[in-house]
Amino acid sequence: MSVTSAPSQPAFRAAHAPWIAGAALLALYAAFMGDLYGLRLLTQAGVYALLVIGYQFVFGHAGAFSLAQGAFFGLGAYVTGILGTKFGWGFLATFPLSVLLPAAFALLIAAPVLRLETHYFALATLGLAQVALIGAVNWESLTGGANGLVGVPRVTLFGARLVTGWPLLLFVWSLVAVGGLLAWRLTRGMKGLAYHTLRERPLAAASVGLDGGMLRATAFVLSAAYGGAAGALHATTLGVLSPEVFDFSIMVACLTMAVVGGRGRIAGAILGAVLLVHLPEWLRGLEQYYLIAYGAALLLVVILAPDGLAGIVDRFWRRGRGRSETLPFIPASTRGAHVGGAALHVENLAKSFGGVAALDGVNLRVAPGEIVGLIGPNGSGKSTLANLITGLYRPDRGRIRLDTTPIETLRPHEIARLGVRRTFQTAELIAGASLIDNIAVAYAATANPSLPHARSRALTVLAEAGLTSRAWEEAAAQPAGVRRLAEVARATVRGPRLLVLDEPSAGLTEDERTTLVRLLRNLASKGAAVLVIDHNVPFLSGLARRLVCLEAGRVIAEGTPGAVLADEAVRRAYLGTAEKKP
Amino acid sequence: MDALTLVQLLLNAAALGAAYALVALGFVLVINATGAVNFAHGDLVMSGGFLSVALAGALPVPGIVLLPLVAALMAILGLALSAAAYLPLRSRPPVAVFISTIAVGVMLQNSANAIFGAAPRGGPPLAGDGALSLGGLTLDRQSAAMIAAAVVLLAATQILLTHTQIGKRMRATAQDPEMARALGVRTGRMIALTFALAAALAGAAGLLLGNRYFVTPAEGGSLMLKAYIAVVIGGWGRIGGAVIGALLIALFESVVAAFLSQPIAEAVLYAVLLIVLFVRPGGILGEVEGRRA
Amino acid sequence: MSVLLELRGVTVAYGGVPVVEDVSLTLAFREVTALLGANGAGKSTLLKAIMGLTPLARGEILLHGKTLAGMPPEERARRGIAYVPEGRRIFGGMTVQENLEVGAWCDVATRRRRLEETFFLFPQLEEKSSARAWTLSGGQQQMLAIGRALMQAPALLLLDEPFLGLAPVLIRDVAHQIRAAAIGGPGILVAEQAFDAAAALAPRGYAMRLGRVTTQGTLAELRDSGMLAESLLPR
Repeated sequence: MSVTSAPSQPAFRAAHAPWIAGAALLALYAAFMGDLYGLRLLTQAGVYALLVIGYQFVFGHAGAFSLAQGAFFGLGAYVTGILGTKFGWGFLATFPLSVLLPAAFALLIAAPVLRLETHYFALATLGLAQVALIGAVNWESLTGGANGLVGVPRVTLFGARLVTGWPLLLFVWSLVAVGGLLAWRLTRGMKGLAYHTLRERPLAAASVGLDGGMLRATAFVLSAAYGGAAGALHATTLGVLSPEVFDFSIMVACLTMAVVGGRGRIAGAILGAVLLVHLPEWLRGLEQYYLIAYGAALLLVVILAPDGLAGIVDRFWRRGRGRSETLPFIPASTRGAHVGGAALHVENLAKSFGGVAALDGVNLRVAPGEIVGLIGPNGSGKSTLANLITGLYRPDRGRIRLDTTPIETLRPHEIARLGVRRTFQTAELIAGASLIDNIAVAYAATANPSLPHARSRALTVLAEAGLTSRAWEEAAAQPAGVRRLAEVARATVRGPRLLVLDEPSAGLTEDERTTLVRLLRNLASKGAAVLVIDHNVPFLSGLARRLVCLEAGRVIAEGTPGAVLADEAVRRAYLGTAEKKP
Repeated sequence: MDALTLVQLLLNAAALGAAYALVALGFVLVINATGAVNFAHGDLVMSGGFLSVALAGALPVPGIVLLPLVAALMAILGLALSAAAYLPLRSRPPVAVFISTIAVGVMLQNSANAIFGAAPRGGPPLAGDGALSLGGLTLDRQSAAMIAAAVVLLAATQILLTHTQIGKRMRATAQDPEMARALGVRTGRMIALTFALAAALAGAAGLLLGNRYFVTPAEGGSLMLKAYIAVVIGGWGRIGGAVIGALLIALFESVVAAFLSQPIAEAVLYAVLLIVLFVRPGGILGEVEGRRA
Repeated sequence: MSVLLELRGVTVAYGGVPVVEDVSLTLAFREVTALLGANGAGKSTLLKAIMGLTPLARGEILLHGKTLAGMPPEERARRGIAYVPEGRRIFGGMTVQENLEVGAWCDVATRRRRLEETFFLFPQLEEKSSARAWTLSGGQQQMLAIGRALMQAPALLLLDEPFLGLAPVLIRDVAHQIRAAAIGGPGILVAEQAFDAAAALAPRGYAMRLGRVTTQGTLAELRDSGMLAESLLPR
């Protein structure tokens, strides 16, 4: 077992230097801007910063285009406003409820809303926000209608009422700091990588056992909690409340701050909030036209700087900086790994798409420790079979069992958690992360190891694939053969019981192909069942003891490679009817 | 409620629905051509409304005469919209277009606010005042002209899309842009033209709505939502479905508003939409073509 | 014979992996030639590269002796290249006649004449001319895709596995129609993985294997060389 060598030390301080410097600058700015108006603006920026930090969970990390963040903000504001004005509750009593109520509401609607696709999800969340706005305007007995509520209680801390100036600013920004740190802890390391994988490669995420639905719901609920907190602060810092808190312009401001600052970034959220709250002041010369400039700024950033300002800072600051680190030695352990293999039984499996049968009564068996090759002409149903076994499709009829467990109705991540792994026709690795992290996220998907632990395991399988020297390099920059081997390594990091590979040999060099054969033989020798789909018959013949040939969704031949390739039906499937034997 | 009142109600709903149909039609054309939602579409309707207010102030002619002028100017705005907010983002995920069109919407809304102020403004009547009376039933000229103008525009769009080479190429681009290119179609231009057509229809709708329902800078959002809902009801990507969806929304709004109130009608509409989405995530009629295997 | 299409050392790569490697071939005016090879040999990719739908890593493609480098597919189409892709890719929501008219870059009278010619060649399409294209059977869809390409009056027709998924009786019909279209018409490059089907269309061809041209000649020569079986069979 090897311990990694490290080209350079992790530069925690160096990497964070621009942000620490930025925070110091912000504090200095506050100290010297000392007038009440300046402080009020900064306080407001803090409220927005909290709102946007929350929005980064769902928009930045889960990658869901939610338009409900403004509604959660308004909900939190009204909880504090109504309880404070109608029942005389103090802020410290209403604040937790302002956080919990939107979160509970988000939890309630998460399941139905989050399974919608992009445009419908955006619409549904916008619809919710619109209902909330109409409610706030029209439920006058509770909300005060269009006039809103006056006399929202101020924060009272240690007997002092925080109404304005430094005390209020410090209170709000302390909450921003707490919220920011909490968000950082919740999304750094493996968690952030899991979201990254989910966002960029949802299929791969499920195939290593990440529960995308759960991750997205968590992000949605967290966003709502932060939105509610920001809304409560908004109500208490102003002392008055009107239905404008539900206005779409708040949502647009939140979105703009997140995009301009940098999607998914906490520093970006704060940067975006401070900048865009002050922008109207700096553009005061434009008077009522400043909102037009606001829209133009959003448009320009989307087109020119998709990673926002935080992305630009990163690009200049981290240019050429190595990011590898020394890993602790962690002995190979079977903890959390699947032990031994499992038998795959496919019985009478059928699947049609729009009336066309892709698979039509397929039977297939792969024993533990066995490598089976699957061949067949284009469109014969090979990839469909792989997608059915791994849960991406549901069969129309037939059964799939892993040992004795029926898996045909399970979802992809549940099947993955039973020890079934797969690779894809085009390697599904995430861009913007190293090879080692691509694999570490698969190791961490089903347990909660530390980042160094997960990376250490990842390095072990990379070493087996002969990729140690490339471990810390960006995955997307690797040649196709390396990406493919890395994907196989990812599929093996938890010792799969069944491995399904979809065209693994395409684009590999001779050496890489040899490595692949060695990796797969090694897995089989430990008991894993291996099903390999490929066009390269010499490669398959050398690897598998048994070949299965599909044509038009049916198994037409099965047996040793020699027997299958000599089979008349197989030759017909590939050559056409009247070809004379050479 | 007697039968006469009911018929009167349906007539009003038809006039409103005719304008909504134009809004939804432009909206769904852009969805089909780009695969992305144009969040500025409601603001295009609003812009058309204010444009007709401004033109009516300068030219003392009936709205029906202004209609071609408004449509033409809005088409130019549509071209600008595609150049600024869609074409630079063609290779990026749809969310980028959502955001860019939201940005354009913010710019349009605040431009209108800066020029015309936030107060509602009345647009020019289409063909002067007056009403036809028919046995207790009144069909005012405005309603009649709204329905007539919308029918003419819908028919003209239909003819453009099905009976001209440009229309066929626009539809081919929407269905399979790569194949359209292999047949010689300059797809970038077709998409820009689609935006122009959508904006022209939106502008026309703004003119039709402006007289009876007034124009405010902030109305874009709810108009966009209604077009969106019409598309969900009619089936994602179905042009005819979107028009039918728009008519149903107008009917629903008119009837519920007659018995209860306008805000409640709107809230119930959104609630119905949410329930529909939860029960049928693919829309009521399903998407236009099944997913390929 | 003068040269219609020439490929010089064409290489196409996806993610750094060559899928088509160093392919050179020529096609004369009105010549019909087959590209034979198994799955994944690179035939479809080569046709896409000629159409301009996928970029070249190296090499050059010339039409009428002029390079097509940097020219987008829509301009190539207007210069006389027509493409019938694998899977047909007709515009399902449009009528048969509308499908045919999309690629007709000519005046109204010429378009009418070409439509008549196409309907003469494919009588089934005329019967269905106002039906939505997705309602057609597989064979009719294939005819529509070919007819749509012929409406461009192309100098070069690229056919990608025109018989895939068709019943044998339909294969005969479509082959007959392609041969009819070729008379006095465009040069045709047809990709096939079935020898019979290719032999029904083209007198000569190129055999491809793993992205390279392994041999060329008349189809009889290809069949007898032994190289063809190697190109087509899994082995």
